[in-house]
Amino acid sequence: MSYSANEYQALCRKAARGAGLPWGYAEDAGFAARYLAEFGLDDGVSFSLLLDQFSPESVLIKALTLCDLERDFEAEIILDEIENPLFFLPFLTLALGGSKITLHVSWDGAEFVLDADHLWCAAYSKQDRAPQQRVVIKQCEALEIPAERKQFRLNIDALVMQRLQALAHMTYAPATEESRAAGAGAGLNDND
Amino acid sequence: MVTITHASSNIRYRDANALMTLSRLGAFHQSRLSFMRVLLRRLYVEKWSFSRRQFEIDHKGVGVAVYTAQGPERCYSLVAFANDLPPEKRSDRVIATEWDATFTLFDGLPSDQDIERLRANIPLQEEGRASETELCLSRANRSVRLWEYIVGALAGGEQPDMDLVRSVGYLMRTTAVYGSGKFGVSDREAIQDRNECRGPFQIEMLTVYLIRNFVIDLVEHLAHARDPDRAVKLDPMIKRALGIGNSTGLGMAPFLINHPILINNWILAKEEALLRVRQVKQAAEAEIETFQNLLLRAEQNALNWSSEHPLQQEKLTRLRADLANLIAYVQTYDFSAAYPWETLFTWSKEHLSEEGQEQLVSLLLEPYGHLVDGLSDCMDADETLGLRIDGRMPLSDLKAICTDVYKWALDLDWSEPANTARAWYVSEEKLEPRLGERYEEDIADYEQPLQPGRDVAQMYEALESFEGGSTTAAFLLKYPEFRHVVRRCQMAAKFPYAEIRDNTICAQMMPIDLLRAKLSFFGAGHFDPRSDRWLRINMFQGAPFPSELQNAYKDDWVYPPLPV
Repeated sequence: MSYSANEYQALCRKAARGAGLPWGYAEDAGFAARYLAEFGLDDGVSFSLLLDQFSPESVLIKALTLCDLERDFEAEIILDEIENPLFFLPFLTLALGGSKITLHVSWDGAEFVLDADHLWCAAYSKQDRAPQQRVVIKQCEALEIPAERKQFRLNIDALVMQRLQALAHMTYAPATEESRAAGAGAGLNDND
Repeated sequence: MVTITHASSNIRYRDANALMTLSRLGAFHQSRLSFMRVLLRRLYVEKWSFSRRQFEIDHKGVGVAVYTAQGPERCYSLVAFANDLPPEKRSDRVIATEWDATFTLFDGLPSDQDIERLRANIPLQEEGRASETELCLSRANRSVRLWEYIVGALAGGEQPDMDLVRSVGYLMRTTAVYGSGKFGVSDREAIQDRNECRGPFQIEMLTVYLIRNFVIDLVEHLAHARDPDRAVKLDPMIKRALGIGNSTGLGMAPFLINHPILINNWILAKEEALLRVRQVKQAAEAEIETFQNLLLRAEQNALNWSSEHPLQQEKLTRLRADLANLIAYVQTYDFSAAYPWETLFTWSKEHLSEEGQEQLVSLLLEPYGHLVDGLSDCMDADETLGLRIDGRMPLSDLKAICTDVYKWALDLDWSEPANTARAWYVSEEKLEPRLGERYEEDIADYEQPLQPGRDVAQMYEALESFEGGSTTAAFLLKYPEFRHVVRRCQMAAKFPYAEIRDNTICAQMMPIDLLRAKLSFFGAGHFDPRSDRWLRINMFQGAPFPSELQNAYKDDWVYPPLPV
C-alpha cells in the first residue's frame, strides 16, 4: 500500500508531538519526514529512529539550530558526531529558500548537492548508516544535470507505520460520553 | 450634505485588526472570487463537455453511475455509488459509517477493474483506501424533507412545490468532501500544475458540481421506476433551485488557523479586488445597472435564506434591514460623482451592520469582472514559505510583531478563566477536531496549537524577562516550546491577513464563524447553523447544470431571480 505525501506528513507531525516534541519541532519533523520519503531516502525507518532517540543532541535540533541561523554558507561547515545526518538535507533546502546558493553535503559514503528547489544524490546507500558521522557542508557550483525527482506516492515500512500511528495516538484525547455529546456540538436533529 | 473628495491614493486596504475578527469573518459572503464561481467560469470559457457514461442503478436506488467532465487537456470522472440506506442509519455526523451515496472523483476514465476496486473501498469512506488515481472522496445523505416528496410528486406526474423546494434547497447533503491526500487520495502537489487545478479547491468543487447532476438523475430515475407511465422529469426552473447541501462541523474549523498563508492569500485577493473597485473614478452606466440589479437579487437571496438558529435569525434580520437601507440609499445616490463606490463603501461603515457591509463588499465586485476575476490566480499558496524560522531576527523585532499583530492578545487578561474556557483537541474515537471545556474535561494535555493569541501572550511574557541573548535563535534555545508561535509571528509579519486577531478559546467564541469564512470562499450560501459548532450550507444553488452551461451560463447565477 502506498501513502500520499500529505497524509504521511500529517501523521509524522502528530507522531513527533506524541513522542514529546514541542509542536514547532513536530512541524519541522513532519516536513523533514515527507521530504526524505519523497526522494526515496527514507521509508520511515530513519524517522522513527529519530523520534525514538529524540534528545537535545538529536540531529533535528542540530540541523535546525544551524539552518535557522545560516544564510550565506560562505565558510565550510564541519559537524562531528552526527547521527542520522540525512535530516540535514530538508532543512538546508529550506534555509536556501530565495537564494541561488548551491551546497555540497557529504559524510562517509554519502554525497549530495542541493539548492532551494532541487536535490542531487551522488552517492548514498541506506545500508551504510554508521552511527556517528562527520558532516561537511560547503558551497559548490550549480549543477546542470537533471535533479532527483520527488515521488508523490510513498512506500513506508509497515512496522514503522504502526509505530507512527501509535505515537500519533498519544495526541488524541480519550473519548467520554460528555465529549461525544458536546465536543462536536450535536443537539439538533441532523437527519432532515 | 458634506461633500467627500477622494484621491485614489488615499484608498487603502482594510486594516487587518478590524477585518480578521471572528465576528467579521463570520459575516463574509460569497463573491466573484469564490471557488464555485471560478470553476464554472472556467468550465464555460473552456467549453468543457459532460457525459453520463454509466448509470446502472436499480429501482431501489442501488448501483453505480459514472459522469465524465472533459476539458481541453484531460478528463475527470465522478464515480457514484448509490445505496438504499435504512432511515435509522442516516446521520450527517462524521461518526456515521453508511450513507445514501458515496463518491470519488477519478483522474481520467475508470476501467471496469477500477470500478470494482472503487466499489470495495469508496462506500467505506475513511475505512476504505483510495489511491493516486482518486482525487476526492465524498458522501451524501438524502434530505428527509424533500427526497421522498419529490420522488412521489414526479412519479405521480406532478412538479414539486417551488416554495418547499426553495426552503430546503437541496436533495442531498454531503457530509465531507476530502481531497489533498486525505485517506490516500492524490496529493494536491501531484496535480497543482494543471491549469484546471490552479486555484484552491477546484477539484473538490468539480466533484460537488457533478454530484448535483447525479442527484437530479437519481431522483428522476426513482420516480420513473415507481410509475413509468405517469412519471415526469423535474421542471428546469425547479431543478435550478436545487443545490447540494453540506453539513459541516468542527473538522473544518481549525483549517483557517492551520493554513495562515493560504488564508492570507484568499483574503488578500478579495481585499485587492475591493481596493480596485473602490479606486474606480467613474462608474459606467452598465456597471451601475449590474450593481443595482444584483443588489435587488441579493435582497431576494436574504429573503429566501432561512435558519432556525436564534443567532443566525438575528443576523438575517440585520442583513435584510441593511439591504433595505442600502436599496433606499442607492435610489437617490449620485453614481456620477467621482469615486462612487468608495463613497458608498465609506457610507456603509456608518450605516450597515457587519453582515450588510460584507454583502456590499461582494456586490461591489460584481460589475468588475475585468478588474477582479484574474485575482483568482493568486489564491493558491506555497505553504513551505512560512516554515523556515529566521533565527537571526532580533528579539526587538519579534516583540514588535507581537505588539503589532497580537496587540489584542497582549491586552487581554489571560488569567481570567472565561478567556481560556475552551481547548481544541482531537478525539481518540473519530480523529476529528473537537472543542472542549478546559476546566471541566481532562483535555488540556491534548491541546492542539490553535490559540495563537494566548500562546503569543505567554511568549511575550517570556521575552520580556529573557536575558540569554538578543536573537530569536537564542530565545528558542531556552524556550523550544515557543517554536510554533515564533513561526506564526514571522509568518504574520509577512502576510497581513494570515492571522485571526481574536480569541479562539474563550467561553463565547463561535466556531461557526470560522466555518462561515471558509465556506464563503467556497461560494456557499444560506449558512444555517444548527448549533454553535456545526452548520448546513447550500452549494451551486441556482447554477446552470452541465447540459445548460454553454447555452445558459451567466456569472450571476448565484443570485436568485426576482419574482415575476
